[in-house]
Amino acid sequence: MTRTVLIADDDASLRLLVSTTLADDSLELLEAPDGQQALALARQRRPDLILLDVSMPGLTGLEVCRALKANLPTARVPVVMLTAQGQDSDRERGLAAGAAAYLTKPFSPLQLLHLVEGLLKAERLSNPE
Amino acid sequence: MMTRPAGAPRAAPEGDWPALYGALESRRKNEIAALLRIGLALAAAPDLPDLLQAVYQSLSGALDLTWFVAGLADEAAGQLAFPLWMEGGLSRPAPPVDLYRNNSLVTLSVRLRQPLTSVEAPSMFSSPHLAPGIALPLAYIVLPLMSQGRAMGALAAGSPRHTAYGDDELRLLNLVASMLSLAVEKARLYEAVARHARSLEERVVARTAELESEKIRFESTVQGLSEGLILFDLQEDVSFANERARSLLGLPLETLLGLNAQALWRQPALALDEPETVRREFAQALQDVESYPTLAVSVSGERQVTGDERRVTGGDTRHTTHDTRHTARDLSLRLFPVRDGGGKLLGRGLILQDITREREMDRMKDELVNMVSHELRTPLASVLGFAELLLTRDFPEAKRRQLIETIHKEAERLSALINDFLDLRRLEVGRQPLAFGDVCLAEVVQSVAAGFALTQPEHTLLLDVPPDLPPVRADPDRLGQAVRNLLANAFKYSPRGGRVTVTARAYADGDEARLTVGDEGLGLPAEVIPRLFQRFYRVDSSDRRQIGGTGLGLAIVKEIVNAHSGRVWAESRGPGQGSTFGFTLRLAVPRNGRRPLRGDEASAGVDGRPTAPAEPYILVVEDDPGAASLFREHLESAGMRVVVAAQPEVALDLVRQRAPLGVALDVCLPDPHQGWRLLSSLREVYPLNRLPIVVTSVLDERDKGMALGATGFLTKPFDPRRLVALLARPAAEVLVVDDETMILELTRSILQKSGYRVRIAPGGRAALENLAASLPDVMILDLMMPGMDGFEVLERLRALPGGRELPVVVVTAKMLDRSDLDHLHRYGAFLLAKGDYTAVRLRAAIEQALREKRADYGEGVPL
Repeated sequence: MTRTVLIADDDASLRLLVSTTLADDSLELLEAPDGQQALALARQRRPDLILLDVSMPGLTGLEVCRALKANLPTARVPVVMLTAQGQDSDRERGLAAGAAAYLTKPFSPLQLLHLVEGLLKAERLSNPE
Repeated sequence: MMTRPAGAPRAAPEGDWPALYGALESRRKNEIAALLRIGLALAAAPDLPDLLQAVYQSLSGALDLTWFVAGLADEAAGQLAFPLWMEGGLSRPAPPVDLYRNNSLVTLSVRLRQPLTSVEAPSMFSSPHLAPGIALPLAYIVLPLMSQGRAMGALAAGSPRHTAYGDDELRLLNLVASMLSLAVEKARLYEAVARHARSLEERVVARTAELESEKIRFESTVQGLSEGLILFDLQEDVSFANERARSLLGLPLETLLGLNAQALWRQPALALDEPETVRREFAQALQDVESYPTLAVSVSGERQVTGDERRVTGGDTRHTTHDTRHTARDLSLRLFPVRDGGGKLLGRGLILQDITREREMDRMKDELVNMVSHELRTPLASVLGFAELLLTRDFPEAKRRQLIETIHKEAERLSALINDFLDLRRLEVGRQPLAFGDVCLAEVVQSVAAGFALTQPEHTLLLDVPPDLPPVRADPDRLGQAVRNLLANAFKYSPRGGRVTVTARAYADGDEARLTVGDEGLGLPAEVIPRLFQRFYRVDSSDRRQIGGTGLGLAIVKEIVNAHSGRVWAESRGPGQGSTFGFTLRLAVPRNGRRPLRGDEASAGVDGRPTAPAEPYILVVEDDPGAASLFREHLESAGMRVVVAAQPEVALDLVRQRAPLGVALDVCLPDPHQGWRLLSSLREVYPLNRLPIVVTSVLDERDKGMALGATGFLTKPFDPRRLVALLARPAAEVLVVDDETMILELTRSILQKSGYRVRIAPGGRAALENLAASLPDVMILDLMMPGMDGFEVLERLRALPGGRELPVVVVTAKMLDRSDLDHLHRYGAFLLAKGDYTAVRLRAAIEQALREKRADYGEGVPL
């Protein structure tokens, strides 16, 4: 079964890093360069997991996350926040906005892979379609 | 001279009784008439001389008077004065006689408090000058004017007849004497009362003037404060608020006056960040006023923005048109008790300081650290991430190559970021050496443009830089960097191509050239313009985010232009309308033909020899023109006159002419030995406490510097404001002596703000204890204090070891008379007149006092 993951980050190199890391036949990857496009794609395509950069132009990752959580169809999609701010307060804000996990840049691709697989598995277990 | 007590019986004339009786009757009538007239005169209470005259006139009708004298004793002066002296009906001035040594009967009668009679001519009668027709008195009588057992004076009457004064005459004279005594007593009392009233009145006038000038002094002090001041009475209601307090709180006086302390922080206009906390903490602080509590609050709300404030925000604020802003302010509050001279609590005082700038600095520092870490983390994530993937997975060759290229690109971005950031820091702290020269703008722009023309095929680059523009004063490399950054921005932010135009002009009347770079790209919303030149500031929109860059380009442009004493600005008609960035530069030779006096050349006089300015100055010994001009800018904006010397010889020459207020010495002149030698030479002449010398060096040679007599040491690069702080604040210690807590607190506040160290003494005795412990650099002394006044403090101070040299600034509300002034002059005090007690004048007086002391050491001493 194909799973869909959305990565939203305004940095093209970082999107490439995520897509390269997660490249797998059973995974479809969607990319958005800013918050608005991320939100539009998420609503339109209902991905199984969303990776959000916190500081994006337009809507920030936190705002996108809150918007997703406020809408029933997207409320249960797990969100991973990616951030370049390494402060605890950012982590708290991310989790308060409803994020399932939090990754601080720079992160190890292996770490990202484990996190994504773990969340998708949990998602599959809790939602046996 | 023969005397006998008056009133002794004498033989009655014999025979002719009816005639005698008639004569007696008529004399009786005369006597009674005289007494009546005297009584009337007394009742009319005229002046004493008039009264005496009236008495004489009345008596002369009843008695045979050729001599009539009234003497009044002045015991304090030891004299007997004669307000009336009649000889043969003529008034004559008579000098006073010694009350205790003169032996005339008149004087004796006063001394003995007894009536005396004589049948000889009185010794006091001025017989040699006897006018024709005036008979010599052959008998006379002296009666003391008695009051409550004391003789106030005497009355003397003389007749040309030996037998003139019998019992009747004596009785009449006695009566008159006692009436006169009463009158004199009354006159004296009246005079005493009048004198007392006069002195009371004088004292009231003086005290009123004192209070008035005290009030003026207080008012001018508190209105001149850069701090806000609010006074609360014992009921904790606002009884006074100065102008600054009103503007800091944004509350009008009508609202403030009478407002309760608790209600103050409930004013909706204040819009407190944390109202509950502030109210609780303020209420607590009011209770703990004895411990001088301090707290910080953040308020917002509408307020007028001053011209100064408008100028300091952002690179250029021509787009800011509003004079009122909704601004947040950080205030520091300090409470203190207000007491009267006797220590009784009168209320509470609140000093408000605007610490928005300081807070903003802190915030900016934090923000900078965050930004740097944020900007570095994103490219670092790619570099590390791709490297890890390449190490742990196998990729097809094409993919491998893409990943390695991405690593390379991101690593370059990191490197550019670090370079830009370091560049910026170096520029900001003046570490970046600028090599000024006369530069042709057209050449610089062309060489920069050549680099872009090749890489930007979709843009049209137009250069409108006349080659015959007058040369500018600039560092060509840095100028090129600024132009390159602006061009790079113009290309980057017009992703769909279009024209990029570089224009340069110099105006006929000015001394500056102007360069602009315009594009037809994304444009700018007006509200972001003031922030454009901030580090890492990026206009928030996704098409911009794609563009990349370090976010430091414009900040670097601004710093470079600042180092050239120019201005930067940005303009745009709005999003999608393109934008124009520009800056100004000084012409090498301004159009009016005079070469501007700038950093590296300011010290050269017309004859090639440097001249020290007449006013107090700071000497900057620095061979790097960029650093010198940066220091100059900061020191001058702190209000100091600056002279730059690039060589030690020039510095020595200047210092020989006139002692500076302080020296900033870069020891790494071309030869560090020269720098260190200069420091030693300066220190040999100027004692440590008289001349602050701040040594700067790229090496941390603090220990060496301090050992050779530096008062401060800064390792380059450093924030120029630290240099200003070390030089501007002569770290002088001021002892403030005043019996009024209010004045003490205000003065302390003013002086601390000005960077002085402050000690206070609430009275003369406290001052002496304070002085005995250690001497400050200068003392501010109130003259009128209960207990020990300022004069006494001065006198005792001058007797202390070393106390003779201590500069003293006397402030007083008292109007000083000649002897006070002489007194102060003798003690070498500087006087600050009553109306002059403003923050500015106070600082000026202290500076003058300190300077004159310095001058004692500074001038005429050969190096």
